[in-house]
Amino acid sequence: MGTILVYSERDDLAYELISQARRFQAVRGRSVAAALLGDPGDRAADFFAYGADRVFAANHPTLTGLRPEPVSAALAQIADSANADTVLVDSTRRGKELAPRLAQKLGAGCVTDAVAVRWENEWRADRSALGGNTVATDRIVSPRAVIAVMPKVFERGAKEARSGEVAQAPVTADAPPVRVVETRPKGGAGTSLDDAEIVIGIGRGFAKQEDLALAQALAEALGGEVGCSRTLATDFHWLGEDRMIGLSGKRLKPRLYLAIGISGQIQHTVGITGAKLIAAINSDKEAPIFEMADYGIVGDLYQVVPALTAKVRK
Amino acid sequence: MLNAVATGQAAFSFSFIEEAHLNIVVCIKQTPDTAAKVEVKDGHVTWGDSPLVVNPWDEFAVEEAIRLKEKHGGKVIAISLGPETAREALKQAVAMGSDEAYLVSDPVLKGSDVLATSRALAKAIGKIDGVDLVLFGKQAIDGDTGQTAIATARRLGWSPLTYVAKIAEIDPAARTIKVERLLEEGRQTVTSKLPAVISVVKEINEPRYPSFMGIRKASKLAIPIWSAADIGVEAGQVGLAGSGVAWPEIMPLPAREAVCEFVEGASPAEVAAKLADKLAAEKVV
Repeated sequence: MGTILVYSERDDLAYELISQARRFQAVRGRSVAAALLGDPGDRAADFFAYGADRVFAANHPTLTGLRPEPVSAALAQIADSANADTVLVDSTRRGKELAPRLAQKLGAGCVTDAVAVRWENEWRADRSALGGNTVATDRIVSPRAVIAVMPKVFERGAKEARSGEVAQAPVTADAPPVRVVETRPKGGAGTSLDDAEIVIGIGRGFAKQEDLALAQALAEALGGEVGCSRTLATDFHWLGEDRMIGLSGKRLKPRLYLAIGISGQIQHTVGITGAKLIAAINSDKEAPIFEMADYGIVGDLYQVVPALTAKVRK
Repeated sequence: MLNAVATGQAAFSFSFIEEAHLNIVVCIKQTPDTAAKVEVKDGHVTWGDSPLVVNPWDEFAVEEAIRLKEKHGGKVIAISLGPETAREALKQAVAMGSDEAYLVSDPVLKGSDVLATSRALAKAIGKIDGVDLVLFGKQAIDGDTGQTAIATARRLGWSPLTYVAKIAEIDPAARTIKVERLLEEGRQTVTSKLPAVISVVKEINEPRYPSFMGIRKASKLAIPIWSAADIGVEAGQVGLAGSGVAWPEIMPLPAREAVCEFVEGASPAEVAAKLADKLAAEKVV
């Protein structure tokens, strides 16, 4: 019988993947194996409790420090030992480093960024494509599959009273060809646009750079951050590219996105579809931004924005 | 080889040392302009009559390749895998400053996924002598997988270095490279042996515009087409037959469901006040 092998360097994500692999057993008839790399401690117990039939453990210095080369090599060996035809990993940035390496070793079709996975006589995985405008359904047609799944796509199941044997996986420890010299943590000073709860997005409705002060004043009054459309960053250079929102910029999930003088072309709006609430101020009632906004004001931003700032300050 | 030195900065330092040159391959893809209007119908995508361009992420790779050439001497060879139209993307790379360009194009390549594409690219790169470095953009804006650089590196047996924001040091004699990678937790500096395969992020540079001379050069340069047979791959190894993932079905993203409530009033102050009240009532401010 074939096997679904699961791996994540984060145990919380491994639990999600194991839980789902167990659900796939019903449609796919595969046993569930989990890879446990690094210090095993008593982690295997939870892997069994969430549904693993077998756990393959490998502990070697090269398997810590998140090096994709030795980790993918170890996983390929485990996949062979476990007779796995499907490998599920997480689609964090690290998982996405891992998946194609592993897929090359296994000769497997590989999908990353999966937001849904189904078995319909073949694996089908949905992911966003074309810059986030669309959902692509990939069909894996090779006998083996590597699928990297976004966190929180699969629900973690309930623990059950199960246990099993831990198999020690063989590891060939080649010297890694890439050597880490140093890692410098991110400075705290950069733009906090990514984490901002309130984002003021500005576009070509602003006639000149000095006028951006209007948006800045409103952002300060609201405790938010200013972001912008592509034109303002790359054509006008009024704001840095780290403030650009959309297809070639950032994807944000603020509580409030306030679009001011932005028409709402899809290249911009793919960056804000995750906003909880969208309000828009634009002089053109036909602007596409109003089709996705919850609240709209048709008016002159040069009059409305200062009035709004004044009101918020009170 | 002397010609290549004479055109680079190395000419002034009289360093005609052959090992100091870099042969840099830059892999580019032709994609629709990011400003294109994407339309999805019956599982297929159309781009209207929008122009096809060099994948925006790949422009950073082309720029970095040219900068490395300017610094170390050597040459930049642009490769694209795609239909005949991709020739225009290669011309852009030449106009920016690449020295040679090759188009890998063959009907049997159609439908290639990452496995098949990396197989073909690795074979094409293998046709070029003495490659030190292969550069990719972070991902293609259309396919969006971001896997091709890693997969191609694995095929070649070279080290993949991803999310590179700075090439700190290259020692062509010692055959080593030091780069800074932009990771979620910060900047990581790593060293590796050459040859290496690098994918770059946009923080690495600001791509130049093609010069007038560059555009003239690009219009005159012959861009050879390499068929599957030329690079030595068989039909069954590439295209859909050689792929692990079938060409995806594509559907439009479900639209954000919202009904816009227009806030109106007699004066800007009144509408602004009403909006502020509504945002407060929604508990978002």
